[in-house]
Amino acid sequence: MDNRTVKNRHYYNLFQAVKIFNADPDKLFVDFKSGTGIERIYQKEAVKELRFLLPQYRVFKDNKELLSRVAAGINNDVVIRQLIRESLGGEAPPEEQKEEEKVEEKKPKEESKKTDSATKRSRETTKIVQLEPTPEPSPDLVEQAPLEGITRQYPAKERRQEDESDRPEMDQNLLDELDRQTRRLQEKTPQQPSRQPEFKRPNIPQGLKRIGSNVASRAKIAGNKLANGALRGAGSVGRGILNAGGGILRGGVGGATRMAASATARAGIGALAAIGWPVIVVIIVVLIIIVMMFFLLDSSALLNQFSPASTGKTDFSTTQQISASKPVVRDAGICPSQEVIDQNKDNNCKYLNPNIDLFDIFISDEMINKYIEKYVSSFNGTRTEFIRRVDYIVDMSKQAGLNPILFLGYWKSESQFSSLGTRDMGCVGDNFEEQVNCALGIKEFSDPAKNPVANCARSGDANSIACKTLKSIRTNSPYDSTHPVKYPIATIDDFAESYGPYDHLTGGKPTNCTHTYNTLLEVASRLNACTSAPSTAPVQTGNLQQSIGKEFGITMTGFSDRQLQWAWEQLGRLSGTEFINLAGGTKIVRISGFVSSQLNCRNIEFGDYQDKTLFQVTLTHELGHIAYWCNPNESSKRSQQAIAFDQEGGVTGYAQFAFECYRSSSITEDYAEMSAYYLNPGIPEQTRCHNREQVPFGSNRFPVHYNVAGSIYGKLNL
Amino acid sequence: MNNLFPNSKKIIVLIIVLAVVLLGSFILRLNSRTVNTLLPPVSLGSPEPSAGPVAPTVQKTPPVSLQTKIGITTKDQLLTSSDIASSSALTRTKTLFTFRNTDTLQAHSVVEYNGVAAFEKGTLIQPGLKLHKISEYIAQFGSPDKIYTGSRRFGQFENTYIYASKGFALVGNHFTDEVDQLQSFTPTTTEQYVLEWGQDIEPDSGIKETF
Repeated sequence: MDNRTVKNRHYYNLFQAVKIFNADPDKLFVDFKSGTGIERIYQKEAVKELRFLLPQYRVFKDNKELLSRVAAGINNDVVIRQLIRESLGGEAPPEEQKEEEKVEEKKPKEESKKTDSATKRSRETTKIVQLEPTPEPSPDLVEQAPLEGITRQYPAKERRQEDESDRPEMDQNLLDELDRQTRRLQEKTPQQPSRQPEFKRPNIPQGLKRIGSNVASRAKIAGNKLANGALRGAGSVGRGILNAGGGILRGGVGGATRMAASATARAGIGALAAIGWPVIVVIIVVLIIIVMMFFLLDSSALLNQFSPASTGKTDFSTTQQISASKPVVRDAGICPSQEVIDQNKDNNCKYLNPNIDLFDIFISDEMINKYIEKYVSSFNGTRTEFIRRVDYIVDMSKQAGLNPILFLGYWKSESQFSSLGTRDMGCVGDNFEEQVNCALGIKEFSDPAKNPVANCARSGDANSIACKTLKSIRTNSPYDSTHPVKYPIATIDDFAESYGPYDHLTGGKPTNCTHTYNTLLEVASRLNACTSAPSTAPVQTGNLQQSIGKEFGITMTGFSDRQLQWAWEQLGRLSGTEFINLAGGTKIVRISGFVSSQLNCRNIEFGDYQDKTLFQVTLTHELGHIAYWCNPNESSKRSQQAIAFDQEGGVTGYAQFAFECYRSSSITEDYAEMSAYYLNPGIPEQTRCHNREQVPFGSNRFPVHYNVAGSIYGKLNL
Repeated sequence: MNNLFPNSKKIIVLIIVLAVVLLGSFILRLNSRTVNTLLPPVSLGSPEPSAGPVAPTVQKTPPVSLQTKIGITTKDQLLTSSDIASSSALTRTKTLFTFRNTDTLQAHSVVEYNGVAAFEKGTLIQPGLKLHKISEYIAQFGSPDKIYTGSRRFGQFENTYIYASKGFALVGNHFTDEVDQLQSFTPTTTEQYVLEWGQDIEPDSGIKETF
C-alpha cells in the first residue's frame, strides 16, 4: 500500500477514533497502524476537524455531545459515509462489507416475508445506492485491499457489534438525509448570474467566420473595382470569379450583403467576355481545384491559423531557454569584515546582527563548492565523504527550513569538521547524521520539549512548546537577563545565543561568542552569504507598489514596505520566466491573518505574512492559481498537470489533501503548489495541511510534475 | 473562339452555376465538419455492437459521446478493449472502466450499468493542447438545463453545464471558455443526473487557504 492510500484513509481512522473517544472520553489519542507507520489522532484535534468537516454538527457546542452525535451518525449520515468511503478509495468500510455479505445471505428468507411497505423501502434503498459516490478513477487504488490498519484500542469485534446495533435505523434516516442533502445542494448552489459566462451565440465557428469575412471583404473591394471597369485582362477575370465566389461564400455563411456578391458576379461575367473561352475554362478548373484543395486542408490547422491563442506564444518545452534577467545578488558587503570579526574575539564579544536570514535556505552550488574547496583539507577523511557530509547538512537544513550556512558553520566551529571531539555539531547524537538532526531539531530530535532551540525557531510561535521550554530554561538562568533573546527565535544572533549561551556569566569563558559565533560569521562571510538588496530593488522603497505594478502588471494594495520588497525580489527573480505573463494583471489586497484566497479570475486576498519565505512561496502559490484559471490550456497546460496529478498524486501534502483541509480541489491546489515549489526550488513545503516536511521536488521526486512545470514556466536559471 | 462556344451566355451561366454549386457544397461541408469538430468521435475505440442481443434497458443515446455509445456499447465490448487501464466494481451492478490516456483523450472512464455503458467522461485534447469551447456547444445545443458552479476535481470556479435531457454535460472553465471534461450518459432529468452522476459538483464554499 503506498503512502497515498495510507493518507487517504485518514477519514476512516478519524471516525473510528470518534467511536473510541465517545466510548472513552478520557482517552486523549488513538493510534492507527498502517502500511508505512502509525497515524495518531488526538481527541482535541479530532473535535476541531469534525467541526470543520461537518458544519451541521457545529450546533453541539459540548465536545462530548458532538462526539456522541457524530458517533451515532457514522452509520447513517450520508456525508460521513461518503467521507469514509472516499477515504477508502471508494470501497465500503470492511465492517460494512461484512454486513452486505450477511444481508445477502439472509435475503432469500426475508424476501418471502416482505410487506408492501418493505417493498417500498427496498425501492428507496435502490435509490440510495445510486447516490453513493462514484469515485474519481484512481487506478492505483482500486486493486488494493480496502483496509489495512487495525486500531490498537478498538478490537474489530467490538466495532462490528456496535455497527450492527446501529443498523436497523439506517435506511429511513439515510432516506431523510438524502432528501435534505439534495435540497441543500439545490438551495446552496446559487444561480450566480454574475459568474455566468457571457455566452456568444455564433452561427458559425470563429475561424470560419473570419475566413468568410476576409474573403467577402476582398470580394467587395475588388468587385466594386471591377464594376467600375478598373480591372482588365485575365488576372482581373480570375480575381473577379474568385471574388464572386467569395461574395457567395460570404452570403452562404450568412454574413454577406447580397449587393456585394451580385455586383462582383456581374463584374466577373463582364470580364469573361473579353477573354478567350479555353483560357477561361482552364482558369475555372484550376481555380476550382485550388478552392477544393484549400477546403480539404486539415480544418484544425486552418482554424489554428486564425486562433488568437496561437499568436505570440512560444513553446518553452522545445525552444526557449529562460534566464532570470534580474537575479538576487548576494555579496558580503553587509557581512562584518574580517577585521571587525577579529576585534570581536576578545571578552567583550558582541552579537553583531549580520544580514543573514535565519530562514533563508537558498544556497547556490557556487557557495557549496567554495565551502568544499576551502575546508576539505581540514577534514580527516576522503573528499567524497566530506562532500557527502556537506550535502547532508545542506539537504537537512533545507528540510528544516533553516539557513544551511549556519550549520555548515557549526560543523567547523564545534568539531573542526569532525576532527576534534565526538560532537560534530556540538549536539547529542551517536553519529554525524544524528548530530546534524539534533542541531536542526528534526527526525529523532524533533521533540520540542527535548530539543527546543531549533524547534522554537521553526515553530514561528512564541507560545509553542519549544519556545516555552527554551524560555523556561533561559529565565531560570542568567542568560535572558543579560543577553535576552526574542521568542520565537528568528535571527542568527538569537539562534547562536540560544544554541550556545554566553556562558562566561556562569563562570566559564565566553567561547560561545568569541569562538563559535565568530566562526559562524567567518564561514558566512567567506561564502558571501550575507544578503543585500537585489539588483532589481528601486532605491526608494516608497515607490515599490508603483514599480511592481509597472514592471510586472501586478497591483498590490495594503502591504508594508518590507512585504513589497519581498514581492519585488520574488517577481524580479521570476521575471525571465513565463510566470509573469501568466499571472500579470492580478490585483492583490492584503488582509489580516494568515489566510489567502482567490476571489475570482484575477483578484486575490492575501494574508499578512511576516516571514519572508512563507510570503514569497504563498505569493507564487496564489499567482499559480491565476495562471491556472485565467489562461487557455495551450499556455497554462493544466490538462497536462492533471495527468501528472493522476499519476503522481499531489506534490505536497496540501495538494494531496486539499479537500480534507479546505474543501478545495486537489487538482487546482496541486497546480499552485507545483508552481510555487518549481519556482522556489529547495524550499520545503509550507502549509500546515498534512505537511510532509520535505522539499517537494527534492531527490528527483515528482518527475512528471517537474517536466510539466518546466514546459509551462521554462527552465529556471535562478 | 466564339465558334467553339456558340451559346456562350448559356455556357457562362452554366459554368458559374456549377462553380457556385461546387463552392457551396464545399462550404456546407466545411461548415458541418467544423461544427462536428465540437463533437467527439463516436465509437472510435469500442467496436460496434454486434448483431446479437440488443441492449435491454436503454433506448436513447446522447448526441455527444467520446468513444463508447451510451446504452449500446456492452460490457463485453468494454472488457475486450485494448485501451482499458483498469476496471473496478463500484456497486454490484456498476463497473468503472478506466482507459489509458492518449494524446487526444485523457482521464477517460466509462461506467457500465446493467450490461451496457451508462456514463462516460473524459477530456478531449485538440492539437496544441487546445480544448473545446463551451460557447460552441451552447451555440449548437442551446442553453443547458442547469449550471452548477464548483467542481471537486477542477476547482471552485468550474461550472458544470448539464444537458440532462440530451444526455451530456460539460465541466468547464468559464473564464477561458474551455471544456475540461465532457460527460455523456443516458438522457435523464437534471435531478437524476445530480444524484447519479453529479458527485463532482461541489458548490463553492469560499475557499480560504491557511498558510
